Amino acid sequence: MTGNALRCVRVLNRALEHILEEQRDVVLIGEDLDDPYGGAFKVTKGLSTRFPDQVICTPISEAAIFGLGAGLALRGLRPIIEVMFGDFLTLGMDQIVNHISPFQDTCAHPVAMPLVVRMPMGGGRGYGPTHSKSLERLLIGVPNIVVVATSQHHDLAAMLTAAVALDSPVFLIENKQMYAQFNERPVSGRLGQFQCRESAGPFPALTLSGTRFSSGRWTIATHGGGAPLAIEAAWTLLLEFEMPCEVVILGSLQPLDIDPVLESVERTGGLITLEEGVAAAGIGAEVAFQVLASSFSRLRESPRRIGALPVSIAAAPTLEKNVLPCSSDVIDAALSRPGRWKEGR
Amino acid sequence: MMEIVLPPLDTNADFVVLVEWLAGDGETIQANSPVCLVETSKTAVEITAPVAGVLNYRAAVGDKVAVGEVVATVVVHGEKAIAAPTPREHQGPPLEERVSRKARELMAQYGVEIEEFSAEGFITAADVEQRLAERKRKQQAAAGGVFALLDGVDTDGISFPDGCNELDEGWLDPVFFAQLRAEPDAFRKLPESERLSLLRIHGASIGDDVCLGEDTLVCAHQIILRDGASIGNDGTVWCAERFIMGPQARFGPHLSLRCQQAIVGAGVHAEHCIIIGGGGHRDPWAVISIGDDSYLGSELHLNTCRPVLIGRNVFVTNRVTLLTHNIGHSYLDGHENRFAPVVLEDECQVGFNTVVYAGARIGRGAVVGSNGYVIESIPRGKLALGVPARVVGEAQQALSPQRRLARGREIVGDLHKLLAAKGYGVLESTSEDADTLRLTHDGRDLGLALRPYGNLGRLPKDVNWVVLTIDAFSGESEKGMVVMDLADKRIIGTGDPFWTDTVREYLRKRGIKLQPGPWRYRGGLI
Repeated sequence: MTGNALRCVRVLNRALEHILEEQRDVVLIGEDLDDPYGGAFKVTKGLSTRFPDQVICTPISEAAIFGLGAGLALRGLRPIIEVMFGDFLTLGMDQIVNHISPFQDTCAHPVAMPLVVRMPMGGGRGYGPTHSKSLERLLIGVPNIVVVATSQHHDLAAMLTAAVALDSPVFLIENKQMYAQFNERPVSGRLGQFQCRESAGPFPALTLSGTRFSSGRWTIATHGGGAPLAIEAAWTLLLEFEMPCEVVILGSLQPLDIDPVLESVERTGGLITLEEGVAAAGIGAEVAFQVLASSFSRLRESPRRIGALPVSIAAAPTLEKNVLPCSSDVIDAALSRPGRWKEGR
Repeated sequence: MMEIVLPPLDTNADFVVLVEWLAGDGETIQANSPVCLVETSKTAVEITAPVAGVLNYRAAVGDKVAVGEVVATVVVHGEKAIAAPTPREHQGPPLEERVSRKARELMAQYGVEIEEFSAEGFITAADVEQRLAERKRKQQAAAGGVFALLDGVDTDGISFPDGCNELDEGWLDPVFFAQLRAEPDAFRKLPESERLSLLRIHGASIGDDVCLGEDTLVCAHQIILRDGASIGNDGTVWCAERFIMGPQARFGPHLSLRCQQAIVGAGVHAEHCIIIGGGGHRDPWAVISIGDDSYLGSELHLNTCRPVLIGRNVFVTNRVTLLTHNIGHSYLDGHENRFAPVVLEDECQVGFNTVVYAGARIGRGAVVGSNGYVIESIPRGKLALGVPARVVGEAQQALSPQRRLARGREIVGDLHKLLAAKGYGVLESTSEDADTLRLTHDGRDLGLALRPYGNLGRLPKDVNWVVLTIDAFSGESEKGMVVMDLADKRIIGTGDPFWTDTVREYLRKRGIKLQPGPWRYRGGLI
């Protein structure tokens, strides 16, 4: 079991508390952050009481929130924006694409933009089409920003602290389902029954293997909410089908930390990408391209891609399940059985 | 007593899931200390104690708790505790859950206990197989002989020749051996009978009728050449430990054999220019075992730094190469450099010019076509072709009784044609018995009859009959008659040896080998 591990929501809450206490130039900006509500997912619970001057509870306007955050960052503060639901990112997109991103290139002198944006993404909770999407793909390709996917196996506190310390805007993707999970970290190279390697840098990727990094047949590259699905699939593939797979849980999506994937594909010769967002032009497409460009000769067969169906996410749980990918989609792909991966091609 | 009631936490949901207790059942807790963690539809929330006292659970981890329901009670100091319902037990995953299905089957089949594995990580079939190989290695080490040097090679599917488990180290007179090494030519110049007698005196064991050709040199700590063994002209055998040749085994001229141990089975027939050994022949695992009745074609090249195990009745055609290691550029710079055994299981067949690479295994009864390059193992009974060799089908096709009979007739007809073409006085078959062949040679009446069933039927007297039965033969052969049971592949009875050998040789050429063996063709009509 997980011992004394804390749940992700508590880890983030404590990390924010620590950051606000240590760094008086950090401010939290977002909707409904104040106590007693403490944010839609309770990540900021207790913070407005302890640090009333550093928590800014705003009206419902993401454009204003991003504009305010950008302005404060330009003026030397280090704001952390909480977007209540990642779906509302689109309302702040103009600020991001036309202001936050180009400021750093268009000023006569170097400009620091130490802004952190936290966004709960993902479905599985029956919130319907406007509160369940995974839109991190929209941020890929926007210049001058860092996009990071967190997972329950990453060092969430360290990632958040590193994001605040960077002088560039950092967008942290937090999966909604992750909040209630234990922040289960690898201990002496092991994560549960898997052996685990962590890449270097502030936003590392985790590579898991059930067979000591030998005899793997597929590399399952995923991030965020895909992590538990990929691990579940790797578990079943190994125990039921005697097919060992490696799982790479990406951290940094932009710049893309592709090396752990390439190293794993070098061992396995096969790539399956898994993401909760829509597959077309998604993170998996970028990962697959990088692998094809660098490791084409290592691939045994063409990469396989799994993502959400390109339809609105239903609110009814049974219908929602059909839209979002699940571990059996990965198993189908690995075993070359008919399934969603065929549609992903 | 104070009840801890679930407060409304989330406007979206009427219930939450209890995910974890943060204080123990029966524990004394402080006011406002965390009691449990519940999961709403959005997040996890801590529930705290309203007063100080002793905590009593009223729900279990995993329970759905409705808003307003009691999660736990707190008995304030001095109150009497009320027995709470026992929460459901939630156990962690049992040890067996990390064992793969196939691994579980193998463990049950071979009696491997889970305690043999480390406490962490998954257990896969590969892990169990590794344990089994270790076990086999230990058993082989205990068995001694060549088995002690097989290093865990799976010996399933291989029939070993006699002598493989001989533990006797053998003996060779060191003075004689030194002299022999210093002046091999002097030894070579001796007449053959004298050479043999010297070998007998100084530690070799040589059977009757053994024939070593001109300039043959055999050096080993233990040499056992059994009855009828023979090596053609100009052969060299240099085995550090032992060299055993079974009865009727034969190597053609220009044999060069260097390894630690070579055990050659009964009736092995090896053609000319066979080169066994290479750079690694001094390695302790340089072991070659060739099962009974196997055939090695000419110009076989074989290196031996790891065991080469050839089973019984294996057919290796000409110019085949078996590699137990490769040489080339630096392993550290990423080049391939492999040392591994080569295994040809019983009854398999290797086509012309084929290369079998280190680590490959050709399964029982499998066939590899000419010019093949075998780098992965070929499963039993399969036909594999190409570079690299890939399975394209079955090695054998199942024949109906009618097809078998037709093929038997074809063989008799072909022999008929051959003998006629060679000018022997073959009689024309009569329409009454199309399945017979009659001829006269040196004043003897010779006859061959094909019988579809296991009974002999009526045959004219005063003829030296050889009867082929397509089905198994259960009776006794008549006097002077030889029955060749093609179903059970055996010979019953004795008749004219010259004619019997002629037919037996012709059948051998069609791939039909009969027992009892070992047997060698010493001449006949073909």
